Amino acid sequence: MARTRVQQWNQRLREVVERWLVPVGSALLPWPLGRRFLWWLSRWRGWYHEEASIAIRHAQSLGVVDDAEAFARRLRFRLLIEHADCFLVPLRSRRHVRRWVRTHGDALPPTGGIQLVGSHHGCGYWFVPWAASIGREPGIIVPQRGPHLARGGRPGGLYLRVRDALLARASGRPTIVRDGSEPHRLADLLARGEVACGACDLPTHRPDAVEVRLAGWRTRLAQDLFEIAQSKGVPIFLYTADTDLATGCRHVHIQRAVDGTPEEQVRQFADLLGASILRDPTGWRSFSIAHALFPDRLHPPDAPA
Amino acid sequence: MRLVLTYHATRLERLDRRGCDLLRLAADLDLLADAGVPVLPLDDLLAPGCREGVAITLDDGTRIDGEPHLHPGLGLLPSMLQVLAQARRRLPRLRASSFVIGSPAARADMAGALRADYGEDLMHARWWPRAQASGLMDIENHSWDHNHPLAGTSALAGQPRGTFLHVASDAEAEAEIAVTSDHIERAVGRRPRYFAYPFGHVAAFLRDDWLPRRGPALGLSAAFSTEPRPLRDDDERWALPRFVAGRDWRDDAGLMGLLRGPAG
Repeated sequence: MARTRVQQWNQRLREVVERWLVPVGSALLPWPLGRRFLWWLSRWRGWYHEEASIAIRHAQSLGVVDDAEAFARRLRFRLLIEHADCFLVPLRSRRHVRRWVRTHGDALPPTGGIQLVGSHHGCGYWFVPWAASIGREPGIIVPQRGPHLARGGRPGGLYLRVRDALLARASGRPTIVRDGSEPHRLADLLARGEVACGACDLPTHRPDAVEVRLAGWRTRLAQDLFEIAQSKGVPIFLYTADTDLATGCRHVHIQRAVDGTPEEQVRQFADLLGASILRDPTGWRSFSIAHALFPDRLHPPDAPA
Repeated sequence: MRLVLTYHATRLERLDRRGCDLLRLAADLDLLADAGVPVLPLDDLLAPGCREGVAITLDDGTRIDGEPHLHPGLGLLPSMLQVLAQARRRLPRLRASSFVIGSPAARADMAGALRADYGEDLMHARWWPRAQASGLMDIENHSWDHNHPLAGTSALAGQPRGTFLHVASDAEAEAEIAVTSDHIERAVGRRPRYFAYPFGHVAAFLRDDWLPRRGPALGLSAAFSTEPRPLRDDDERWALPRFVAGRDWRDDAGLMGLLRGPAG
């Protein structure tokens, strides 16, 4: 159905507020105050309505929601924080990063190629400046802006471009767009002894995808990141990054992948991500695209029920 | 085949299926659901006529059993209760038993000694009523202070720490077991039905004399060791066997081996 001019302007206005005004405004505040402000704002149900309503519906269908009201409030709070993160990061010093980011687990090697594999759970945006702050500037793999990522209006599209640009600035190197050529560029980066960073919890149609369980249900994840790293003989480190919503601290857990096949490493990654989803499912951004991860269980948002 | 499987939330060598009982339990419950093995409450597994099934028990009653926790080495962790809640979607009869240490003083001493390795407030008991009310977990008796080396004092005064084998008098048994059942009932509104021997050490006096004599009056119906074998029909109910994760199996193949039994 064609949208009316009023609806279009309404969406643009919402995008300006949700992706620019509130994120930039809260990023200008001291973080403890900004966090309280965002929590206060999250009382209103309209925030990021399009993404939040799909995510809540999918999460409920997957059975991970105990208390729908509490889930929705935490989800809105996290979306507010994550939209603020891309402005918070360039506005903060390395000292601030060290103060608010707590790292756990294995240490990253100070030199040589590394493949980092993370997910869309938590506060991945903070992992980047932290890695850069220890001298391991990661080349980050980002998705190509397809129709599903650019369905919003002009302010939303501009936000996505600025977000990617700020991510590249935080990491200290250009992002690597998933456009079909990324395996070669990734391999080159690793061969030069640099750090590459990508997410593994995206829908895939690859025939060699590995069957795992996420949120308790079967899905399939691609093993290409692991294969490329193994072909270049570089170590693989898995990481999770999350915000403790009670304290505002960002927690990064790093774990070296097992010495095994790419398939075993994908399963290890799924276990780590599964633990994060279990602890706080509202942190997983992929609920809004979960129909592509769990096609047997979920309908696409625009399909008839 | 009937098995009782035991997990310790504090087994956190690494955050993977081999080194961590949180992820081991999640993987095992998936495996049991895939294999169609009934996962039952202890009451149902021990009921006359039950021929097949697995029951889940958790030992020591750290807060990781009941709520998410910040671990200094591994970061933000989910709870065993969250693992059970997720698994219950496929295992409708799932209900675990968490064997907790009763003494607030002993728990505080242990938490203090373990703070550097495990993080803040590891042994608090505020999660007990929520866990009991969830319908996913029963709070059961793991003695008053475990005669644990990290506890400042023990009800087993004069005995060496780190063993439960030398309990040999009514007074000692009352102080370690009866008092704990009363304490748990006050805390969660339900009297424990099972006792797990600390360290898996089965004191002959408790098994042969005190528990058969006093256990039923206290509301107890069985006690568990950590002897690694399946349940048998002729088992002595005051020293039932349990397998322990990390010791008796560490991976999917290990659990499947236990399910098949020695003949498999």
